[in-house]
Amino acid sequence: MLQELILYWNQFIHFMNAGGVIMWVLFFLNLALWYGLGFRYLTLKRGTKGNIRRLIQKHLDRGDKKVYVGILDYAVADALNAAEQAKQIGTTKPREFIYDALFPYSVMISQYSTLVKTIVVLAPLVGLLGTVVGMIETFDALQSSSMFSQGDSIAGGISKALFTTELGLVVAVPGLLLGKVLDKKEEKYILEFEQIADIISTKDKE
Amino acid sequence: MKFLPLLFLLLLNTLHADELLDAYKKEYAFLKAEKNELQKRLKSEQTSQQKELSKTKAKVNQLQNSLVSLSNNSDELNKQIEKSSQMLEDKKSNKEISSSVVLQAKSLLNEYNIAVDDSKDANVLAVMTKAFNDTAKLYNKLSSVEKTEGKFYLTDGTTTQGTIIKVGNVAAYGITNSVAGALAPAGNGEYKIWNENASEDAAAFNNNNKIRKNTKVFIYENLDKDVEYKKEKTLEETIEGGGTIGYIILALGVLGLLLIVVRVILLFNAGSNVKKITSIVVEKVETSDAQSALEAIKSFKGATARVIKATLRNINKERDHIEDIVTENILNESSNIDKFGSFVLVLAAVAPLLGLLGTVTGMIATFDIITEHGTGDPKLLSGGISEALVTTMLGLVVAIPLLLLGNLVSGWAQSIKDSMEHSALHIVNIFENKKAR
Repeated sequence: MLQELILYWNQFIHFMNAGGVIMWVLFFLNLALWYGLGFRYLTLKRGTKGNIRRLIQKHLDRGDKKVYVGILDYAVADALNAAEQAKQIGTTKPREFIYDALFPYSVMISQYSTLVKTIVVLAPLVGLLGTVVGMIETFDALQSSSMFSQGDSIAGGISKALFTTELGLVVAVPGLLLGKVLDKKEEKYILEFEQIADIISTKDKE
Repeated sequence: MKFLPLLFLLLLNTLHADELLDAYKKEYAFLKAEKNELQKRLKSEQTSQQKELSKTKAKVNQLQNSLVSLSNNSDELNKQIEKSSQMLEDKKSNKEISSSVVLQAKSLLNEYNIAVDDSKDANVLAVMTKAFNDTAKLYNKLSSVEKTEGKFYLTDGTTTQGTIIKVGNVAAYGITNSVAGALAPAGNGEYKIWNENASEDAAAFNNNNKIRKNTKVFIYENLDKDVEYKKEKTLEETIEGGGTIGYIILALGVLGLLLIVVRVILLFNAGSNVKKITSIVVEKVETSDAQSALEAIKSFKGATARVIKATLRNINKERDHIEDIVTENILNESSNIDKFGSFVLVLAAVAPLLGLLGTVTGMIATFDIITEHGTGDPKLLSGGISEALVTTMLGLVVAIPLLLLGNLVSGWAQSIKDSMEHSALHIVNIFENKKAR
């Protein structure tokens, strides 16, 4: 088991060294990407079931004995509290208080979205950079055709060129797919926050 | 009177009749004897002829048989002749091969001062055996590590005396008291020190140490041709390879980075103190009134401070009015916050395109070289191609950081705008809350 792990580790190191410095750049971009994706996945997890109308009704029914299972529960509870406060002081604009209460949640759901999008765009470009660097090395080696060192050889340049492009795509494609799924979820949350504000502020008017 | 002669004749006849009969009888007997004689002769002739014929036939048969056997014989002989002529040809070509082998051996072994006898009367087999044995010995000698004393050039062009360690016939190391390193061919069978540090490997070979992993070595085919020192390509040279377009890309990159620095400073001024201002104002509004909060944040500068100040100044007015004021203030500040944002991203998008343009122009130049000089020299072409690729590399080198920083800074700017709006809203709400109490 341990030996297998060591073997895989050696293979990984060999693979990374075959592509040069740019492979490590891509590797750390990949780590950042998956950190962002994981963070977004955890914050965007729903937990609650059913639509917003039922959720608000449930919260109103339960009264003080509230059960929190997801981000929407907290958001609805905070929004109801804000609406209650607004009702007490008799303001003409309860909606502003609800927005005030929902703001931290809308910040939370959009966290790291820029990072994920940027890395998805960036990774193939970095891979392309590696390709170009590798090709330059290849043609330089062709030009001098010296056999002195192993680093700047023709085959080394070509493997650099191919490995970096490969890793660039390997980094970008899952990030693109998962990022799109999470963006869709975020959009849904934004619409639901809007709906919460609409429902609670109109409910008080009745 | 007519029958008179006739009668005469008749009379005459009868007169001679007996005489005539006798004559005829005689004649007949003679002729008969003659006939018998002739018949006898014919018979004997026939038998003798038949005898002769059968004899001849037998002779012909015999002759025919002997002809067949003779022609068979000649066929065989022909085959044998063919065979022998082929053998002769084989022998000839074998001789040619062996003589060419001898010639080759002579020319190859001459380089190492080993004589090969190629005179015509020499025994080819013996000569070849000797040549093969010599070659095997030479091979053993050449594939071993051998130390000799000799002269070689230093990197500055001066010659020095030292130990030359030949590794087979493909590499060498040189060691003197002061210098040690790999040797490269300097032309005409001479060596020169290669300009890359391999002194430890040279020492290892000199002391017959175990050969290390990743031994540095200069492998050459022969010593006839001088090898040029490998030049380390400097960054400036690489950039120079990109030409005018490369410099344009670099200038755009520097401009983009400058703009990002300016933008970061602007954003830092605008948004770094949002939380601090908000907490101070919230505390002041809760404990005393808006006027004292305005006093408390008077020393703060920047976009957030201006927006909050405007909010506090108008906080006693109607809610709609306050909101309009806040929105207007944020719009006013956002021109500053969004400054250069899209321009940096445009630069990031343009840089790879310019790089591609440089590559295409470089390729066109390379193909111009091909049309002029042909494809004979790969060095000429590969140099042009690697230069063409430099612009693409520069384009990407410029685009990647600009894209990364530009996007992150834009996200930061958006969050600053959001938090400014939110803190203004929060303060108004708290004020209203307090007023109601």
